[in-house]
Amino acid sequence: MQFYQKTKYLYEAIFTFIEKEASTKSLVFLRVGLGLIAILKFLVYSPNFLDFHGQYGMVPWAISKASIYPFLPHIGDVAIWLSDLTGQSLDAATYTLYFIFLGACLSFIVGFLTRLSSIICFFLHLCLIYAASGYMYGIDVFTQIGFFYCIFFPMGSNYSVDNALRLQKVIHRSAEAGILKRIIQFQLCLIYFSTAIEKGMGSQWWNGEAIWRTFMLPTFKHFDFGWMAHIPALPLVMGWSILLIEFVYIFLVWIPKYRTIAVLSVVSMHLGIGFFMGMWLFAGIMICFNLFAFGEEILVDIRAFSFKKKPNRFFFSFTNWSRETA
Amino acid sequence: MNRFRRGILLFHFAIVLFTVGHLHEVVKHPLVTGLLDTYSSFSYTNRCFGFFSPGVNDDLKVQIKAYGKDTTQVIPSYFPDDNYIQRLRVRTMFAHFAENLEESTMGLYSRGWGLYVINQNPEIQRVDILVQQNGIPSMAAYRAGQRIVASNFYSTQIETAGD
Repeated sequence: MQFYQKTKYLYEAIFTFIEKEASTKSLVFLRVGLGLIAILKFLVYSPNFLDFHGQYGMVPWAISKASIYPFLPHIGDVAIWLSDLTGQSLDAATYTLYFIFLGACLSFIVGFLTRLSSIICFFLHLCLIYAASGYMYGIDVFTQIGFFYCIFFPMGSNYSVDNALRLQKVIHRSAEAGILKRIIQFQLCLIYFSTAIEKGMGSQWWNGEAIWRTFMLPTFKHFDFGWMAHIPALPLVMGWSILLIEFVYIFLVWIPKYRTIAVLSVVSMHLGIGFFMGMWLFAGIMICFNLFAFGEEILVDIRAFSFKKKPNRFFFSFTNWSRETA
Repeated sequence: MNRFRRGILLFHFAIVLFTVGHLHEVVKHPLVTGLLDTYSSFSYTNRCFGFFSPGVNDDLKVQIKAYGKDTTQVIPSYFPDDNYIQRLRVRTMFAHFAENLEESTMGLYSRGWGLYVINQNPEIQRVDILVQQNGIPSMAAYRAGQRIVASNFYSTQIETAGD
């Protein structure tokens, strides 16, 4: 019986924490950030779109389709269907789908038919990345994660065209906004923690070679970092710093006193990735996720600090739960 | 939030934790693997996020030479490289090409590249593909004077069926 009570207590505590209300402004931030990045990442190679996603692109549909599960959506399948329906050529149908995707992203950003837009974005983005699985990297994975979560939450509940057209009631704070924030928070914590552990299992991140090699790889080479070989302590410290930043993130972001430092460290790391490796879009989406997940809390922490209020020392507040169960 | 939605949330994070914790490598039941793969294929949330882990591998570069009937004359061909992001995508493709060091995957990619180049110009009849690996020296070796060395990794020839 005692075990049952304790389990129930823990269950309620966990969900009180997860279901804590949050401002829907943060949903607007994610909506705009995610939508803009999704558009940008395709616009940068828009003139060569068919070289990447077309039937006879660098990885032809026959090959990209063969390398995924048969039940997964592929832009080729949808383009063939659209081509049969409209009489367009396959290339024209592929472009049509691309423009539908861009339109859905714009609609998602401004919050017009937000739920439908997010579903279209999710589906077409999935189709597009499966046709381009050969060129896929972190930005595509995180954009897809973002669209996947957005399907289930009321992204258009504030500052949206849906509000203006009265298709959606304006909501300033909601439990749904809080739940999505918690989900992204957990996801980020798991990502950084697991990547820190996996990096730590190799020797390159401990002896500085990983940083050295990253800077020297022709793929990412923006500057000549040959001089770094003569100051081996520098890549060594940088490697350790990255391990430390990623490893402690999962612990520090729940402690108001250290949260700002933890998030700013990770944001700086991503800015570094953007600047030194040229992966600006990847950096952008990671920063967007971090600011969405912890931005509101950081603002509260900073306000508390500037008014010299004592910040909450506990990982999370049980206030709501106590009120509910009293 | 009702119990159903709470259940979905717990299920979701159970799956994410299962994958991130590499438990799928221990529990290899086809049902579990199928469920995890399917969920990952749509949501992308349950994946092992190991950026540059455990280490940073050498990268690859691809040289393509296209020929017509006259095999002494190289016909210009290209991979898109209008901007850095395009180049990054193309380089990512080279990395995926050698990801599992499977001959069949490399064969598929190279045939795709061959076809892509052949489609650029109707005169092209033969495409020679040479993939090279950039060997990055260690810091100590670099100090001793060693520099990045490109070594041959894979090569193939794609030809059209002929006249």
